Amino acid sequence: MFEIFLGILTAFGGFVDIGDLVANSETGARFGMRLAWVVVVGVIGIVIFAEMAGRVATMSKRPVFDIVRERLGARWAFVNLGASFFINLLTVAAEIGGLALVIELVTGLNYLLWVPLLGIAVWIVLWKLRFSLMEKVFGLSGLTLIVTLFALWRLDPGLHRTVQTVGFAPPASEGWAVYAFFAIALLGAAMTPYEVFFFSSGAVEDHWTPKDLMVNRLNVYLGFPLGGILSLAIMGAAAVVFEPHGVSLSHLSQVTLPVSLAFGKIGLVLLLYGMFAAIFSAALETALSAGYTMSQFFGWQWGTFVKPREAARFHLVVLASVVVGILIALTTIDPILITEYSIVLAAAALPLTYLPILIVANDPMYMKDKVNSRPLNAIAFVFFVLLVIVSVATIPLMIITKAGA
Amino acid sequence: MRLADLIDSRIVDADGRDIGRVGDVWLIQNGPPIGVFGAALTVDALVIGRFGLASRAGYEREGVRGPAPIAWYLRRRTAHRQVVRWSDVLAIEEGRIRLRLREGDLGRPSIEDVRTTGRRVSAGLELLDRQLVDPDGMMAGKVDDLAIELKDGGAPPVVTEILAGPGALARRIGGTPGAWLASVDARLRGGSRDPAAISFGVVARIDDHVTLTVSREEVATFGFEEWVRDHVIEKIPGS
Repeated sequence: MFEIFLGILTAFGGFVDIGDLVANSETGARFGMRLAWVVVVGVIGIVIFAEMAGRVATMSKRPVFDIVRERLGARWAFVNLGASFFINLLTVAAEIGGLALVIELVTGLNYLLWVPLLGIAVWIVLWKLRFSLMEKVFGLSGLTLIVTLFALWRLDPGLHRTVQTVGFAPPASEGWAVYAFFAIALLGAAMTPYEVFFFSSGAVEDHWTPKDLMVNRLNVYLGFPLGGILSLAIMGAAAVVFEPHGVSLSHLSQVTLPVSLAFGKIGLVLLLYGMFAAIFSAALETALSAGYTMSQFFGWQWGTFVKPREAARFHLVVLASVVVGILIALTTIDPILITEYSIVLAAAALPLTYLPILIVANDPMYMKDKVNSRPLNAIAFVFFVLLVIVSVATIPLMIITKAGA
Repeated sequence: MRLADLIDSRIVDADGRDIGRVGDVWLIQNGPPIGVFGAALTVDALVIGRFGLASRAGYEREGVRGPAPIAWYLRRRTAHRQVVRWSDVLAIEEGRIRLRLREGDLGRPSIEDVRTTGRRVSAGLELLDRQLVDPDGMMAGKVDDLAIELKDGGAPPVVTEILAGPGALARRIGGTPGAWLASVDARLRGGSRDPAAISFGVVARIDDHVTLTVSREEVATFGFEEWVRDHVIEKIPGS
């Protein structure tokens, strides 16, 4: 019982990362709650995707990229590997850069100074700690982000002003193309592929059996929506503070402003602690995901459940991706910008990973009697169509809107 | 010959007409004994069509149903494909297979229809791209390709080896990325361009992965892993 509760809280605390922090704050400031529905759609999407991936991994012991390779074949899986790996590197860089920005806020020293130190810290934790332990420690610490929820309530008691801006169309000051572009960014932030690589590989590492499927469902069905509520609170807080003044966000310090306004220093400390923990755990997950995707494509031994010397190439890829992430972050390209690109491209690449999982989740050869139910298939198919549309629209929208500028 | 070369070969019927490509190969376990695997897999039939997502999704099998629109679309493209039994093959040429029959004489059975004698395996669906696992549960590469030995006198070809590693994969990826992968692999393996081969005689089982009876350290794909382990990972404290 306690284990289940812990799992839900871990999924909750681990839901938010730099992508959600940036995308939700940014859209809240520019669009009020007019894009809030996308967060709801995105959470439903990641719940469906992660539950299927977890169930496939439990029943067949095959994590996501194994399935991608089997179903897409050498050529398309290689294309997917290229895209996923590149986006994942950007995400590693964004998370490390985000961590450094948090420390810059605390210390006042330039973030570039912190990038190498934090990158190395991420790698040491990966090298030394077991998957399940680090997941719990950082996931639970990330729960202090709940302070945002209270801040929103304090700034806007009864949520009257927040609810006022809820809608399905852009405000008068913004066009439809920009609105659609940020919708994709929010979807990409909620449905980041690395979460699924990580989640399904974790199910194999922890030796889940069909008995654990119920726990899988509870974690996903409760933990992720709670994380979604947190994302909405971040959006709402930014909407209440910034939207009326037409301020657009360009720095992480602005993300923290609503909480500072509501609770002063104590609130800020809690928020920064939560942000650090949440982004740190995301940095761990993305670095591991680099190893998972590459190893599972080529069939190398992977995982943190064996000693590093027994999964040498896996650990080499993890190490290399942290190093490259540090180097990208050190280019002085704004980490916020890297984050924006990583989530938008992540949304565009989703169908290539989602489709194989959807197909295999229906295949009794892997799933025995645990294939998708009809209602689940109906929703899952609607999401597949949605993801394909998003994928086709992303690059044109990126060009038309100059990436939302 | 490699499975990848067989798949994608053009098929020409008795009238000299090109009737499509090989989209999948059905194997049957009735060949000469090969190690612990028992009877070897031999080529029983060639399926005409494209070796794409549709044939890899496996919707032509019984019991694979959802989601309905995807199942409907992919099944329409794979069900009732024409099937060439190996006994109807006249000759194998470079990238081309000649038949004794006319196109109109070919049947359209499903793999279940012919699943009567001996174990049948759809090479594209159940063997290619599967994970190799050793007796200790350690991962040992993928089934990147299969080596097939042609026999004289029209006897069915026998699957003799699993080809694993980037060298075997490169040909299937093709184009510039494939050439690049092949040259990286050749450099890592001291210039050898022959892909790493694992005898089918050490295969214990084929289910949702392929289980070997020998440790991964004894198969040819282990070289790169070993190099990385000895030269990088073991140099780091705490490995």
